[in-house]
Amino acid sequence: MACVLGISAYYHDAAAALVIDGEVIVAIQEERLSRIKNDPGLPISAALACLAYAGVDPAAVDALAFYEEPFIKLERIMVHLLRHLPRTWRIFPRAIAGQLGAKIWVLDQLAETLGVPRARVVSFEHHHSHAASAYLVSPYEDAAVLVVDGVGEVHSTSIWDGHDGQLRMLASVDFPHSLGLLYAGLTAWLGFAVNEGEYKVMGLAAWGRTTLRPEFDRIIKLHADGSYELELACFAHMSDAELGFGPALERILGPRRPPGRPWDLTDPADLRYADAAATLQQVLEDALLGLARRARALTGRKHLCLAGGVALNALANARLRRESGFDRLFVQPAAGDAGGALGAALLASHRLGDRRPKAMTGAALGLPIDVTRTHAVAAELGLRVRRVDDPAAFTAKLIAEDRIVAHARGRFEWGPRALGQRSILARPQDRAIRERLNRVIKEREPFRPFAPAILSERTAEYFAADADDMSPFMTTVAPVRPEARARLAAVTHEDGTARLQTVDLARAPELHAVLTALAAEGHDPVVLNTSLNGAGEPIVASGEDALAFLLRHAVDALIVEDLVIERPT
Amino acid sequence: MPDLTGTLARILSPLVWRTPGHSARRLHAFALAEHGSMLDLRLAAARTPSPLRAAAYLKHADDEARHAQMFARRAQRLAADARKPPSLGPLRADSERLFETLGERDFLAFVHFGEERARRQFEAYSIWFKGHARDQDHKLFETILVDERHHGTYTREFLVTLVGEPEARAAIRRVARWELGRRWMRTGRFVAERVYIATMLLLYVLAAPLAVLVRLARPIRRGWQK
Repeated sequence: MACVLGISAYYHDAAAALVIDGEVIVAIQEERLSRIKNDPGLPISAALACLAYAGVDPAAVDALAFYEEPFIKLERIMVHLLRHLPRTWRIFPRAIAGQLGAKIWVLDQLAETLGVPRARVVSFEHHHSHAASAYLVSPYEDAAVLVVDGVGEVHSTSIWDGHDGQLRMLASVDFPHSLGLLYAGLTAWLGFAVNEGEYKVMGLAAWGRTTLRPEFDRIIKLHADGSYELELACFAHMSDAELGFGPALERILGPRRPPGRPWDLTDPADLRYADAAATLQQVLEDALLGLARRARALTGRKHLCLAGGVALNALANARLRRESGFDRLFVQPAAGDAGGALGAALLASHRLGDRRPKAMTGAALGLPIDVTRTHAVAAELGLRVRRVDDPAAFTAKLIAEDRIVAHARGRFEWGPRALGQRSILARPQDRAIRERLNRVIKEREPFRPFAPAILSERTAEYFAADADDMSPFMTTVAPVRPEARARLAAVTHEDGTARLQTVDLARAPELHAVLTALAAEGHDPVVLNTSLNGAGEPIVASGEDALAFLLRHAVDALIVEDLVIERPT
Repeated sequence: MPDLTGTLARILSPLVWRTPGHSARRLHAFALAEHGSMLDLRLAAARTPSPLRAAAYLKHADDEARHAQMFARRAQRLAADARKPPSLGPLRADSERLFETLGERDFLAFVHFGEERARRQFEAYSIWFKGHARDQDHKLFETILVDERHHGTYTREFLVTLVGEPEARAAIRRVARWELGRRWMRTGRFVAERVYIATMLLLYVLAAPLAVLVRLARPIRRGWQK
């Protein structure tokens, strides 16, 4: 019977998660509270918010679990800096300052800042935390676990056997060979921000052809045993932590795309960049397939859990499901570094004798909205606010009238996906809505797709797939049925797929009610669902955030629990 | 009280705005400052117990977000005109968590102080641009100045309502001193960073023999590891 607070921090996506008596009570990414996208700082606000939500005093915390081993990481960084001397001269002062100035003292900092006795602060290895974050909340008794990210302390890829609530590492590929760093390097080469633009690369891939495979075969070698090897000269791990790629990559693929230049996919130059994204996607999928087959051979398990930032590649996950030979796949919604906080908390909880948690049913693990306060602030802003008896039916009515609705109900989501609690919802039929959302509201590239959310039991009517263990968390894609494409034009991507979310009552009751209301009125039980945030901002958390969003963005209405704030038509 | 900020801005204008590249960098720095201010105001809106002030902070944050965009866009255009275009980086700033650090009274005083300082600086720049026939930049600053004046006024009004006139004045003096201290510390940090980098590079050179050892003892590992 333990109360454990898990923390991830100091790389990107800092987070806190609270586990009590083995169950996940609350989990929050710091960015939602600090309003700084991918906030890497010590997640003190998130930690205190977790404790406050559960009514736990910091002194009553039995263990505070950090998701990484700071000194093992320090050793890897020192070895790396010395191994590549003199090319590391530029990053040496900053890397040392980062490590000695803050990172190696993180356990003491956490104890001191949160008021938890130092003896109760523990740490786990990065990939162990990732593996636990997926396996321990998965619906599987036994499973192979594949962790793929940029780098933890040493490993960039690891295979684990999850059995009877325990995890055992079987094999790893170590830094600097890393699929995460391959993807990051190409993200930077395509002119996007690393750790932020990876989704854009995935979206861009559908517009290109896989014509650059010979070039990519020089950048990464995939071995028959499932392992892989990067051509290290193509990357800049050793000389420039910001850029991510080296001159050799430009010699193979050509010059990088200038960051910030508007995209024009009728321009042959931009089409070639789209070809690079498509080929990268293909190579990544082939690599992951090799890793998954290796995991299956090593463990003999029927189910696979995926974790690490690379596990958020929905296209690759769909292909793994089809071709890896595993019966079922699970990806925890915060598969990136934020998820490490959850994994570390679960490992510490298990160590203290608590049972494994129930399988994760929903991602609404954040904080609820203070409706009274939101009402009062909205009134002070001079907005026309009213209460409705049935907000789901009202939302459905607005959507059916082709209006774009900002929807903030329930506790906010855990992970990078908006799953209905903090979403922008619209009709999925009209491509013009997609253009309006991309251009005016989200201010993002025209090639980026929007996702559909559909009533779980009606999935097969619209998609050539059924709901599975990934689809409730929007971590996979499915082909849209040809006969449904016209009705789902705004959410069907260039390649005919959609990153669908299947919605059931237990996981997303608010969104389920909206879809049910749409179906009851004879409409398709599908909505376009995109995250409730402006360009470069984290997803909305509080009522104040939702109001701030409304002030800046041209949505037609904002629904906050049972409050409705409409713009004059 | 002499307007030191405005005077300094007037004196330095020919230097600050001498080329499109320099102008772009300066405007981008303003964009980042506005973005950081927006974050602080959003946090303040979530923390103040008063819905009235929360609403005011949200409106103010909205203005700051708009200013950040305006500065950033103009900076990008100027950068494109530069002979050697500067790399401006993304529009991304950190919040200083001023509300948590200072409490609401001193937060308001600090915002008022900052807005007034920005107003004086922007007024000086606006005059300079007008005199040098840089109409777009003049218009940009004049547009933003409308909001800056309002921000300076409302924060002072709120402050006086919250704590009364004498305490409001004391709070503004206090945060002015605090800001001066922070500037001093920033200067110290700037110097310390240079000393640190020089020391680290010396250490790096001295560590060179270790590099050979590391390459022998800890080579890069390929393929599967157990």
